Amino acid sequence: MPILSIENLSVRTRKFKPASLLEDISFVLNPGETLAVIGESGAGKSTICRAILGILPKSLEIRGCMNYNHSEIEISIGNWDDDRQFTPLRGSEIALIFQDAAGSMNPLRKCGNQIRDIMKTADNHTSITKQSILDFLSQTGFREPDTIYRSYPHQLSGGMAQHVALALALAGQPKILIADEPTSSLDAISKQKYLDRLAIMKKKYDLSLIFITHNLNDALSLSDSILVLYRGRAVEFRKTADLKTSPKHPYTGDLLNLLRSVNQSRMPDEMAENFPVGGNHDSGCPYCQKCSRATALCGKTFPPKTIIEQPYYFCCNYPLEKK
Amino acid sequence: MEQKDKNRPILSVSNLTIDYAFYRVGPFSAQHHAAVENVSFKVYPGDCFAIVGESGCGKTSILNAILGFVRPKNGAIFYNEQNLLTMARREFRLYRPEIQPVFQDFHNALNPRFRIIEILKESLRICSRKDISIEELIAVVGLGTDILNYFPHQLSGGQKQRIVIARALIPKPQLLLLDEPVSSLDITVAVQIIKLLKNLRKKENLTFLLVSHNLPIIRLLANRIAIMKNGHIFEEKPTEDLFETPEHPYTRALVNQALISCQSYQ
Repeated sequence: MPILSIENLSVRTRKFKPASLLEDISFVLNPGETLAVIGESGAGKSTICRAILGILPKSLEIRGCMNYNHSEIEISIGNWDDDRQFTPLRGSEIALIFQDAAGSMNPLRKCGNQIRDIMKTADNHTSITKQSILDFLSQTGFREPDTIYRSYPHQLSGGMAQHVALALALAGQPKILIADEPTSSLDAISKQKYLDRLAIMKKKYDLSLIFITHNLNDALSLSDSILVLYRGRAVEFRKTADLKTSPKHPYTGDLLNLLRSVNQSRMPDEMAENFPVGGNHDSGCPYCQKCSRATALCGKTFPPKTIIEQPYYFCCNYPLEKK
Repeated sequence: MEQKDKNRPILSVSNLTIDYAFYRVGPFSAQHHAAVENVSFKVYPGDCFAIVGESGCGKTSILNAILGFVRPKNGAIFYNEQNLLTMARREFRLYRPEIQPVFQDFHNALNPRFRIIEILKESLRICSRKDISIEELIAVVGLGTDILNYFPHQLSGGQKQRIVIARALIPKPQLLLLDEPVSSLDITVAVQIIKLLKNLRKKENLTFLLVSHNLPIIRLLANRIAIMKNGHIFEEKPTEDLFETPEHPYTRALVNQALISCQSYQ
């Protein structure tokens, strides 16, 4: 049974010119698994994680259903605006790590005190000793917990700030961790250190992970299933192993071909150069202008979901065949 | 390019030290943080020289010093054998159009209240270029005329980056400073931009100074790479040499890590 399932999530703007940010997104997250959400910038990756925690602006219209932990918390069409529904989820059940780790912490408080605040809330406001915080920091992999305890966020390096943000997220003892592009500003070595620690923590605390990234290499090596977004549409949701061997949507196929050539450090051959101009892509497949297989049908209506094996699906009229 | 030009560096940075002062209590308690220390490198015409390092290691500070945005504490920056740091402001202004930046944050590099046509027209007017039309200019970066009437927010990331590159080409630069040009783009768009830059380098005879933290993408474009950490350049080599025989332990770790992450899908 999935710990989190999202069905037909749509996010639209209400004011000015109605535009769709997300349209008909469905996915499930099984306990202990890692789901990677990939897509270019502006595809709606971060909007999904903000919708899950109910921290999107109230000016947006949100539709769809969310089911957390076997109907423990159910959010349906009418109550996406209701903050009370989300309060038990935030921090203690689902934690979020932002891209800008140092910026997401309180700049005026030391890291130790910020961890204390979260631990207090998680443990029903019992008093937390300094020693328990230091123990927690060493459990989460810090060699010098005392230095971290006494540091302000601005005193941390980029990589270290991400590690502290991970510790802050874990202090609430969540079941699901959402990491929103945590490694995008780190160099290769700090990135690997961070991903290794993330994997260890995931095992130790029995977490389910939603990993949002635009780095395909990380997504493929880390995840159990992948949700591919393109301009607010979920074009493919598959198991990672299946997606690697037989991508169905042409966008996924193109991404993997490009990745292969970049990884082999050779320039890819020919590519579609015509960019679709931004605007409303409500009707039709948003990838149709770049797709080599597109016909007039693709431009008219978005293709229906083709279910391969519940709950995995892809949306394309002319899917790629297995090589 | 002529052989004699090839041997003379277009840009030569020697012993550059940049530090930033920050104040704790009052103006007399300034503390200094050295962002760049004793950095030297040379960029030859037609080269694509890349500086690779983690965020905060001082890469962007070097670019800012070349552009005259920050005043270095020590060192010299020679552009075509002229020291940019000692020349008068008026003289510097003559050289400045030949060095153009392309910034990382292209969303904020374009005026949100101007249409694309107005953004480009303004630059053409300032540089008093009448020999090229806007249509020709955006054709150089692979865009069609249909986008001219759009506002920046209506364009995708890749399109905005192309407009920024087109605008940087207006003053006929010799040297383009590219600050993480593809870091926020996904791989499909990033590869297109890299391809465009590669073609431009050949066609317009440009020299690139590139700053990034993504080694696999850099490998496609750069012919020399310098590895930077904590304000120092540890190693500088031609790209393929660096990948085959990295010497410094940090470079070795960086290259190994890049290669390992590339093995996830080959």
